[in-house]
Amino acid sequence: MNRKLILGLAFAVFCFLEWSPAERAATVAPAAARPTLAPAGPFHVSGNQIIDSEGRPFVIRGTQIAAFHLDTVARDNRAGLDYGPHSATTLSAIRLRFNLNAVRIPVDLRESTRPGYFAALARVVRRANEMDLLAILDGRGEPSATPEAVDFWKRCAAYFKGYPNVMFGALSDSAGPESAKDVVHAIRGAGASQVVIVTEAAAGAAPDDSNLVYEARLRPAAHGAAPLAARTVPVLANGLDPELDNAPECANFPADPAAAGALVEDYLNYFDAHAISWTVSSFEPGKLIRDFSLHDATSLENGWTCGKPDPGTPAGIGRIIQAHMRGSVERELFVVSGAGGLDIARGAFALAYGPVMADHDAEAGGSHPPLKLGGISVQVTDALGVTRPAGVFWASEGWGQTNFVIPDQSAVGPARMTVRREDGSTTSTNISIADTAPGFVTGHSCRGPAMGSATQTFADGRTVTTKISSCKGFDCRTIAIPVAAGATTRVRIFASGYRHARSAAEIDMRIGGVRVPVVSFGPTENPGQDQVTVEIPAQLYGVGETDMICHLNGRISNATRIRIGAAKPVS
Amino acid sequence: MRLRLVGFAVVAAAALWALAAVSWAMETHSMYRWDLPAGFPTPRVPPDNPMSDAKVRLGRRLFYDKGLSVNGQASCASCHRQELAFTDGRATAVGATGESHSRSAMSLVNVAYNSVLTWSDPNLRSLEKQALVPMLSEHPVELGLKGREEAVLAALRADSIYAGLFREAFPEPAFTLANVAKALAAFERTIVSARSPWDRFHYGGDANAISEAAKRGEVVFFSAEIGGCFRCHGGFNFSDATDYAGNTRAPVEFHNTGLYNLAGAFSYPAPNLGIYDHTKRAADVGKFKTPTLRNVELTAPYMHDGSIATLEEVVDHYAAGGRTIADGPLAGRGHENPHLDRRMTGLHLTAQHRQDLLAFLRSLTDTEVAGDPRFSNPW
Repeated sequence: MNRKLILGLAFAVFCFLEWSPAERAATVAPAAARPTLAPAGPFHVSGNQIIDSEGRPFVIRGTQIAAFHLDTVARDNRAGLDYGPHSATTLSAIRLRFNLNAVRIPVDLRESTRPGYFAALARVVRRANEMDLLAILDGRGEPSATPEAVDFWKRCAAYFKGYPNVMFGALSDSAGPESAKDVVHAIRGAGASQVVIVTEAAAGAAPDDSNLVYEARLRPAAHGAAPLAARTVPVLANGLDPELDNAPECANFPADPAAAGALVEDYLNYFDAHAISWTVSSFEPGKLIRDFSLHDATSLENGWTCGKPDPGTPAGIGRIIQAHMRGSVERELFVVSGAGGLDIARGAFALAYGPVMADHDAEAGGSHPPLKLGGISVQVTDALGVTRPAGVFWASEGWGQTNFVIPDQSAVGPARMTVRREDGSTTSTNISIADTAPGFVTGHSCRGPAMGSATQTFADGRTVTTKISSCKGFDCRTIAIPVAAGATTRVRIFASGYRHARSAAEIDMRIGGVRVPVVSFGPTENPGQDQVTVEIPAQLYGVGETDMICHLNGRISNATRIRIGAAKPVS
Repeated sequence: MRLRLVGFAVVAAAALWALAAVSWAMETHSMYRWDLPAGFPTPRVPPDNPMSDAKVRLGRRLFYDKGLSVNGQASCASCHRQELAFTDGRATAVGATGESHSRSAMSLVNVAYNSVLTWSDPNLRSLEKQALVPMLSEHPVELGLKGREEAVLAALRADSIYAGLFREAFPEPAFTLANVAKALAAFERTIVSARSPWDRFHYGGDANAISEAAKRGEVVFFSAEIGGCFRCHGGFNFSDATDYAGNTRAPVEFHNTGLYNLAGAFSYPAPNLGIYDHTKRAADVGKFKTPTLRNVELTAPYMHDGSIATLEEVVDHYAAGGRTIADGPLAGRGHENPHLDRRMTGLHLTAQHRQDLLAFLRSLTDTEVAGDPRFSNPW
């Protein structure tokens, strides 16, 4: 494996995270986590559950993203070193890194009459749905009872009635039961049958509709969740955010990071135990994340001053949410696939971040990584209880990262990964092994330009091969893939988690939303790395830089960028 | 012919003596059992001074013996007090006659793992050699035994307890200054600190051994992005100047941490110029060894010259990327020292980070070593 690639991988998850002779003591050994259920609407309500189109209970685990505004579409969708809040990369981070399955998109009722409003909004909704995220459209800007609001919901429902993975957050703002009825009738009158989320206030005089979810606003300091479990209707808990920038609200929140973290964790455990849906905080700098560049999660562990946010080290509950959703502990090891996701394919490389504590930073090249590097070794104990050593190709001193390969013979299912150090101490964490878990190798932190090469084959048999991206440090750029009428262009993409796919046909590769044929896939000479070769169809010629994602066996890859050049005449 | 016989007899006698000595050494060495906790490697022991219980017993007595000073006023333990993790609580050490040393007395805790000894001598790697320094040094006088070696040995020989201890510890001739140093070194190697709350957490699996604050502080300490302290204070002994049996010896790094930045020929105040004193390279001015952080709570004041009084101030010094002294003869901005270690970039520590890092450092306090009767005064 070349040095750049190793370094790229080595730093690939600095974005995530922070986070035993006898094993080092973890605070609380968490239960193994599974990826949250991807939305498979249309949904309906049964008793106090939301049921998906396959009859499975669907529990919402989501967050709010930046409000949709027509004037800021380009900025919000931006790619590059600082990804927009509505970009596929950001949505990918929400899905894979945080293991959430829903986003709330605030929409401004007053803007909706402008031409092209719903079409532009629909692109964001489709992008979220493509990333396996339920989209909840939250009406804002007008009291819900006004004729303008009712009109908005009629038009909105008419536009999105064919979107099975959309719910209407019709009454996110305070409104009484009567206005709830009006809005729900407006939505149904437009032919939309999706779930509508109404406020708790409406629960007392529920509109005559069976497809409602009731939102319960939470104030974390108030310990107000307990009654929710007794509900006979589905509840969506919202508002779990300490509001550290709001001095009066923050003052009610425990000042000690451990107590504050425990309080949030109590809520999350309670919701899990009672299968209560939730959306928490928002996916923006200073809330769940530090920035849009790396999507590093915020932490309460750095401390905070109520009402005085520290832009350099913003405090938030990001890491608590992330660790909880990954079945990990904030300060312990945190293991992700090459896509940044929870499931890791057997035979694929994985990245663990946390108390690696190697003797020194160390990397190993070659196709057969050593079983010991920098004074550490890694073991994987699979679902059958079989423990195997893993090849290690990167190990960091201190709180850092180790990159290793999941032994190919590992059984699929929940497993345990252990770092063993020369001093005899060990640290373990839960991981989840799958047959396949698609991911693309990038130059930096599982995002940005995909890595690989493009080969153009001309009618006379001549071939030309070029790179598809280049990096200077972490600054990676796409390189236009040359295409030409009369020539075929195939792109060999560095990837992970594909080698155990049953056939090329089940690999759903999409570039700019267009499915592209997979010509071949399988391991490369680099440890844990695969390749996927696709052919660029003519309809993508000239599309420029766009997103590339993949679905395989119900799992989604990280979103990466690829640039398709314009067709030129064959010279 | 007669000469040949005499020669043969001498060679044979020498061979027998050597054989006996080796056999004695092997026997005593094989009897010694390290009582090391999990995670602690076996210290490197010089082949000519194998460990033995007898030698450790003797060394302990010598360590606390004020008779090993010019005026009967001081012993090794005067500058290396057990309750202070074998430091003396002073900014700079004071010898038997009251002369001040220019540097702070270093902790002897885990000294067996030090790859080099003292603050800034890259060549001093043997505890046996080091033990002779305070006994014989004249500038400054520490124990003040220079020129009194025979008298001291005679006194030891005359002491019935020592007579037994030396006989058990060494083959004849037992009463030598070299053996005194060997016994002291053997005792010092046994002072292993590994029972701090953090050890119980890290090695013992006791989740409640340290506070949540200390756990957060551990992350600060070991994270390159926050504290990065482990880059120099790494490994089981929290020092980058660590060695043990079977370890591949790596070059020891010395660091200029920006304590001073004086105008003039030397950026650090004489006579403490760091390893420059040995290398005479300008770039080595102000470079000192990284001491262990084990028991750091007990070892104030800090730095090679004891010029920082509290642990809080030490953290602030590193957070600032060097010390600024506003006025006086030592005025200067340490961060601008031309030979500042590249890691001294300053830290963005929140108030919580600082508090947690201090909690972590205090979790390295091994109260047992500070009161362990095996290391206490036998007199």
